[in-house]
Amino acid sequence: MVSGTIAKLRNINAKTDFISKLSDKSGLPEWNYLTRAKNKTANRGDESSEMLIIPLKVVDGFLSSLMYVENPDSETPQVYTITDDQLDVFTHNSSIDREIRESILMTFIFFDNEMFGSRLYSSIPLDLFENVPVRDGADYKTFAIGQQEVTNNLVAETCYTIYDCKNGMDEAHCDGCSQCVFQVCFTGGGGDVPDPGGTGGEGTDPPTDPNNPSGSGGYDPNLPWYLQNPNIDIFSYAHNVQSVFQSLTDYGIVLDALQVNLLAQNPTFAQKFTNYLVINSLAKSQNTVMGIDFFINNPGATWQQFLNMVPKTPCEKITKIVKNSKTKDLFGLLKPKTNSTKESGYILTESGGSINETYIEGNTGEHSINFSVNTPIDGFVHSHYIGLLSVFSVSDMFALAQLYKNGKIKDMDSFVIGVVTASNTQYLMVIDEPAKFGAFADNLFRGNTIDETTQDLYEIIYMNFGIKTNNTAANNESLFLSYLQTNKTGLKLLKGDATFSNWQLLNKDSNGNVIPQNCP
Amino acid sequence: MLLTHNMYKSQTLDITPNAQNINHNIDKFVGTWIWANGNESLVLIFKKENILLPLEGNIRADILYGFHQYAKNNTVLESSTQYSNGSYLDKKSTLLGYSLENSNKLEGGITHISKNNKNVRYEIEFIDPTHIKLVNLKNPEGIQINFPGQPPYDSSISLPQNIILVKQ
Repeated sequence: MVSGTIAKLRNINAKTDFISKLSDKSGLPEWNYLTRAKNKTANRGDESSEMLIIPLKVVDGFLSSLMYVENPDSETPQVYTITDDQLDVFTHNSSIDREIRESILMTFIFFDNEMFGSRLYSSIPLDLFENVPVRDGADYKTFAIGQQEVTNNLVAETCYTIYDCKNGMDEAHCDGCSQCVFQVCFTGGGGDVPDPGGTGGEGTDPPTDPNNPSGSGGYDPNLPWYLQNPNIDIFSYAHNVQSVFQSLTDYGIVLDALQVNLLAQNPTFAQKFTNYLVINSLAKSQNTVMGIDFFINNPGATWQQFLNMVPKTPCEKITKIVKNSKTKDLFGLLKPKTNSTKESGYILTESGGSINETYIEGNTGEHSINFSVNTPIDGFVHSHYIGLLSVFSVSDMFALAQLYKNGKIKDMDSFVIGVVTASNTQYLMVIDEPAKFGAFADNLFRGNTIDETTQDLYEIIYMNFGIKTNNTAANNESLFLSYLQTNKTGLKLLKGDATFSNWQLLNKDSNGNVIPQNCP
Repeated sequence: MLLTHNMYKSQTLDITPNAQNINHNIDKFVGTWIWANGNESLVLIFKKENILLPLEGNIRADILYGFHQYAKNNTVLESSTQYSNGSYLDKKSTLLGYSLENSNKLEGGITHISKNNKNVRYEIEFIDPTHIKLVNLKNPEGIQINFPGQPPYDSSISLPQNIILVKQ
């Protein structure tokens, strides 16, 4: 059963990319405990179905989550995980039926018991397991359970002996008095575990209980994604509609009924949005909402019209110019010129998919290059020879601002400035946030002329960041990235490989580490 | 002998939000400095002000700004000293400077007025309370662009360098 299940999951993931949506990203499957269970779906009134449950473990010997494969033999199995944290939120949500909470909790306890043996369970809500008495003054129940035989079939009822011993002693140390030994049974391991309505996604509680107050208003981080809008039975919609709905909740966005219906009535858009959100981000989620509203307000609008409205990512912005084979060739021609004693470069203009270049070069021994621009251009690339910086200079940024102020940037969404250096580095800068970049450029000018003292100020700050010719390339890269982010430039930095074919968007995490992200 | 790092401590900008970057290391450059050689002269006037930096987070710093006058053959070729009573915010200054790694070295830029107001990088050394040395002047590294209707970039530098100025 294990190998077949693994193969099945591979196939499902190839179709749905479910792994990227799992709530548990760290647990490892314990295939030996793979269990087939019955999903009773009692609260939905549907016919019972089957599910596979795989416990996921973390290295420190605790259950990380349970992975459910609902209707594993169907055409469209649903796969999701319920993490320990989600379980905690779920079991304390008194708006959810007590039996369902008990059943799901017992499923966790079942696997934990199978994998790690008898041990103590705490923080159990007082309203669960009625036959276990509440101790005086206690805020929650605590008990241990006896060990059970390993099974891979939870269809039948499973019962446990519960030890609610003094001082929380476990089975081995409990005297087994009549006041501290109880029995708890639950059916089918999965039992009412995420019922079909309630579990289709990664969540932990039944979504379609009409009395469930959750999901009213905006996003509630304490609720699973499918309960975020109480007016919508999201599992009654097609899978791609569910997928879009779920993806948006990752960023706290909850679609309303009108928006969901737009997707339901336009399966092509639902699928396109699903694909669009495969690699999700806050910006992409916000764009999706904008797009759905756009289609609601503009019946007959095309997908391309929506795309035209979407702000491009830095990676998308380099597609037009840098991904052109001519530009790659020009980059390649600049590479050997980094051994020269003068800077070289090309001014780039694009027309009908073709790149036209104008060669430029500086004077020998001068650490600069100057050229004339008479009409709007699409970008320029240049070299830094031995002894010059391994990243862009501050003047390179000013040049970009000058082009902007003089109306010589043909398209802010695709304009690039590139540099190839003797340190075997190659970088691009793109205008990521036009408004911020515009403010940066305006700040550098007094009217239409450069404000030299402000330029000096940027120079001083640049030097203060420690960007120098004798630094390592990695150090300068990190420092320049910090400089860009701190200086409100609106620019983004991308790094290329030696073939100029593969580029990575560079950002920094909260610890100051450079985080490269491959451009598709 | 007790060695202290403070003597050689570099002043780097604190870029945490609301930082003030008070810097007394640059006080010694404040004042009027003159170099004269025959019929050629250069006047540098440095002032200090705590200014808002163009960074995220309301960051301020003590910065030197100033004015200069260059004359040759009894003709004033460049001058901004007529604005020297003003503040940095008047945007009339033609000098900016800061000490980074070495508190006795001032780095910054001067507006080369007679070369179409281009920016030139300078390096100044503190010699003693009454003498500083303008070590060199260089064009900034990087790209310079010429636009229609504007004078083309002139890479030459006509201001004097490698000179010693005396405090007035």
